[in-house]
Amino acid sequence: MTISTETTGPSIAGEVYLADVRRKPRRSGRRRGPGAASERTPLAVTIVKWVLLSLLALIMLVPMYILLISAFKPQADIVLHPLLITPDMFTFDYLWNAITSEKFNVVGAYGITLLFVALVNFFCIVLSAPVAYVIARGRTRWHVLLLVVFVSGLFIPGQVTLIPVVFVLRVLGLINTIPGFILFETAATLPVTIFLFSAYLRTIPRDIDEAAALDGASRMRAFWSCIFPIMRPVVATIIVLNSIGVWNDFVSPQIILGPGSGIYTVTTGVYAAVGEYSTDYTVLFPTLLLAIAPAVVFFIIMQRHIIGGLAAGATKG
Amino acid sequence: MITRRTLTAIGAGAAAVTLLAGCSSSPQSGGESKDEKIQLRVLVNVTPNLTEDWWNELVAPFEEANPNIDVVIDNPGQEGVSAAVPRLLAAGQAPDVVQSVSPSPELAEELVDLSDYDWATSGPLADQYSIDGKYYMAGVGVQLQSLWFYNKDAFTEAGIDEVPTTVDELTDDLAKLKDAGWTPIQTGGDWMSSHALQTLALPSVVGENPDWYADMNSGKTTFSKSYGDYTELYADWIAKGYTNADALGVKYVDAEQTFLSGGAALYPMGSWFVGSEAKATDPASIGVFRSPAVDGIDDPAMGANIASPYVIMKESKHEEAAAKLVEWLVTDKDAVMSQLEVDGNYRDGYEYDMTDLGKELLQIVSDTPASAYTPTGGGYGEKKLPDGYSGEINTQTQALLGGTSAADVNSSMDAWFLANAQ
Amino acid sequence: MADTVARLAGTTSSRALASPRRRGLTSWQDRLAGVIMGGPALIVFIAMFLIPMVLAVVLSFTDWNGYSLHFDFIGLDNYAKAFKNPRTIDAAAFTAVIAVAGTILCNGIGLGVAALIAGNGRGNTVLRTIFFYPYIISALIIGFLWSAILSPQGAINSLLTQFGVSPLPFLTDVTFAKVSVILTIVWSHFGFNMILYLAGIKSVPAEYYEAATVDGASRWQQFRSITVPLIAPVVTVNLVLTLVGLLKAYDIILALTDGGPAASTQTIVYQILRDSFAHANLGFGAAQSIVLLVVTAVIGLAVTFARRGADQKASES
Repeated sequence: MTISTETTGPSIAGEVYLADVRRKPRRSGRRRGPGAASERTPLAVTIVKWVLLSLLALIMLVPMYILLISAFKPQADIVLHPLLITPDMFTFDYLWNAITSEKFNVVGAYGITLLFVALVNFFCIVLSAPVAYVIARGRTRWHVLLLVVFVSGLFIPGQVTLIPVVFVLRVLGLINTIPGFILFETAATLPVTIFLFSAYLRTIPRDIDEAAALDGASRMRAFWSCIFPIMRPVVATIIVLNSIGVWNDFVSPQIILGPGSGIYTVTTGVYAAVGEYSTDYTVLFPTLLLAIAPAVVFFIIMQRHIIGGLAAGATKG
Repeated sequence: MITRRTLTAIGAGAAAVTLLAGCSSSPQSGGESKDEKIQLRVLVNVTPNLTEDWWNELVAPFEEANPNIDVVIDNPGQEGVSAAVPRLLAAGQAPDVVQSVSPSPELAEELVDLSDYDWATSGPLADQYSIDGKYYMAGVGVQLQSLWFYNKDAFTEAGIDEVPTTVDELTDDLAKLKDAGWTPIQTGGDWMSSHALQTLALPSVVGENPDWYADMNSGKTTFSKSYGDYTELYADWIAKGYTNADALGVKYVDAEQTFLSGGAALYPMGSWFVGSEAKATDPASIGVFRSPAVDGIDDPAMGANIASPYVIMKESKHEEAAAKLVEWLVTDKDAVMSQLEVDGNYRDGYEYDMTDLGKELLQIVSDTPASAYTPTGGGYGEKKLPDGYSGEINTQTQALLGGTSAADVNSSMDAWFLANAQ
Repeated sequence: MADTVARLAGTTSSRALASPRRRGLTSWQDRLAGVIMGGPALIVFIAMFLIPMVLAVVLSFTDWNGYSLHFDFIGLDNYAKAFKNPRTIDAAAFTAVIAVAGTILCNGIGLGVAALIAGNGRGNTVLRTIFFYPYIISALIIGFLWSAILSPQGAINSLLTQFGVSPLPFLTDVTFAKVSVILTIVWSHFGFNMILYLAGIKSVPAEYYEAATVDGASRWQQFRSITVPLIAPVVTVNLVLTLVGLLKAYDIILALTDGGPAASTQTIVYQILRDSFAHANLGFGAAQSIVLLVVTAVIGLAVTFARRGADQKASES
């Protein structure tokens, strides 16, 4: 799966949570979990715990700190004083160069990548929800087979399909075009999405189907107007997953929308701008900062929803 | 609430956007009349000397003279031209003209045969690059590669009066330089790692056996037998600290800067360094000598490649226009001079203002007979090694820099040749 | 799943008879609706997964270079080469090391941290964000960032030299480089594992802990005997996802070391992409892809099977 080179998503964690939907996580008034017994924890252990956590937090944050301040310093200062920034070192020049750079049009790249995220999410849901419904409601062996076929995609690494896909897209005349890229990315999201959707749908009682059918609607309409709205939590999870995946994907746009197409996503743009000059820190740091700043800010603001959506999968309400 | 109408509206919108985006991003196709603007895509090697700006300036006069042709410069980025070409071909997105790849029997199927054009068949090194008697490329000049640039002050300080003319003398000089406190050789960690090894070895290896390429391909000789002594010598140099200790962590751009600012005594590099030196502000005092061979070899080989070769891809829809462009690039006096000058290349009959270093190199060019010319790296024309040789020997040289023994490197190279023989 | 289907089927049949509308819908209309709803997803999947897979298998038996008009079928030669070529074997070995070491570290740290910050306090929420944020940044950018920090003139070495310690060859020595790659991957990835573990830990009902506290068990004992067994499904998910995901490591390595020094940090995917395109040896690249596919599937299934026992016990509690 090339939507994210590192993972295919917490699909089965969602399943775990889904299984728990019937058995709602009890929210007793008291603190739950391991923290409940904290009255008995000796002070020393607590101190060690917080020291460890603080150290780890530092390791996580310092690189970001370096990235931030280095974007405003000249090369010599970056090398000699990596952790410092003083008013005399501070300069907008390099950041400005990165913003106005011809090699990497940041605003353009953001726009394009956002467009891709939106389109892939849209097509993914439009394609997956109905088929997941069919699978979830299906009672024959064919339906099981259908599910297996889609889920097998989870185990197929994206690179196995990416290279032959180039030729398939070529035959379809879609190589180096946006529709071709959207087609591939959407396909890459199908296994996880269908898996999560069908698992979730199986927990929705069939009464609702009956209610929809009573209105005289065709199955398709019944699905979209009555059932799909109930799927909101799991749709939220999928949107988060797919968005992160498409936003950060590098190999697929690099190969399908190669440098020749003139279309750069945030990742391929960074690669084109930085690739050969990775020791010129006055190019590297400002470019990286521009590439991630909006995404990180967005994440910090929305973190509860993002992390919640990811982890919960489908806690009703 | 997500109503059906909302969904339909979103759907229509998404489909429309996708289609629009698709239309605007698909490549221009269909027939063109003479009046329509033809777009020629030229894939070029972008280097510190050959910047994108320089390329655009280079082709500007051609565009002015041919207002219906728009020349677009394609930069392959980190992957480089020779890696980009197969990928673009596979994706059906080949450019019209490619600079800096040499034709190979495999690639030749995708190239336009230029044998009917004078400017291709009588250009520099045309015969050496021909395949099966056909000419597929046209180049601008000659670029030499078996060269050692040296810091003149370093040599004076180390008490070296004359440049070395044999490998033994060079080894002695390295010791003297190290004693004088200089970093003897400046090398680096990306593609340039193997350059030092090849500069040391080729004059002797090919000088001794001019048929080395053919013999390697046929199995008549092996890497260990022909090249092995020189890997051992280089490993020895590394062990004695004659190369800069941080080599693996230094990129080409930074290695060159270090040498230009007087940070090392010797810099094995191709003739294009002359172009870099000419552009540098306040460089150290630099000279150049030809890379020597071991004692007993009368005609040391000299690595010589075509400077800026151009090929036309068969997939191009504008072969005529492309041929026009390439002809202009290799025959128009101003264009040729600009290309020669920027990279320190040479061509008979084309004199340009040179720095002192350039003049020193010109002397070497004049003194070297064309019979001494040999391909470097994976070779070209009919003197070609299996694909991937350049990458492999670069990786192995990096292993040497990292402390791997010469014996291991030699046997790895032997194994590689066995596995990749054509 | 079978019992879910049976249960749902049982509830529906009586309802079906009761609803007058239901009798009206003919089964072929139903089937048509099913096809329309499921068709598009299936078509996209076939075009972007199944056909390319078949193509990849076919390609792996040829020596095609990707553009030539002729090629030969060379039987199993590509596979033989994959298993004998020292470069490929080295890359495979390193990929395996990344997958195994990375999974152990990511899950160990992820679980440990999750256990420590499972409480509901504000501090824990902040920490959660801090540990997770690298996951939303593209691996390519993380690679460039750390390549700048670990380089000979990077922040760490700069500080070391200021303190009189000689700089460390993080990215320029073969062994150091491999360790740097693994640690960078863990740095960017463990937050994801942590989130899943947090979800799992929080879903363990508090009663268990209360009962154990009454019985006098310490927090560590509670963790070992209650938490760990009950979150078994989450552990399985994490193990499978991380293993399968790390086998595909590419972007981060491209940016961090570009496979160097001396090709020591090349992974299988790195080689697949390079052999397929840059070296114009698609057949060989395809063969490696198929091998990767088989290994991924085997590992994924093996781990899932091996954990069935633990998962069963957890769902029975």
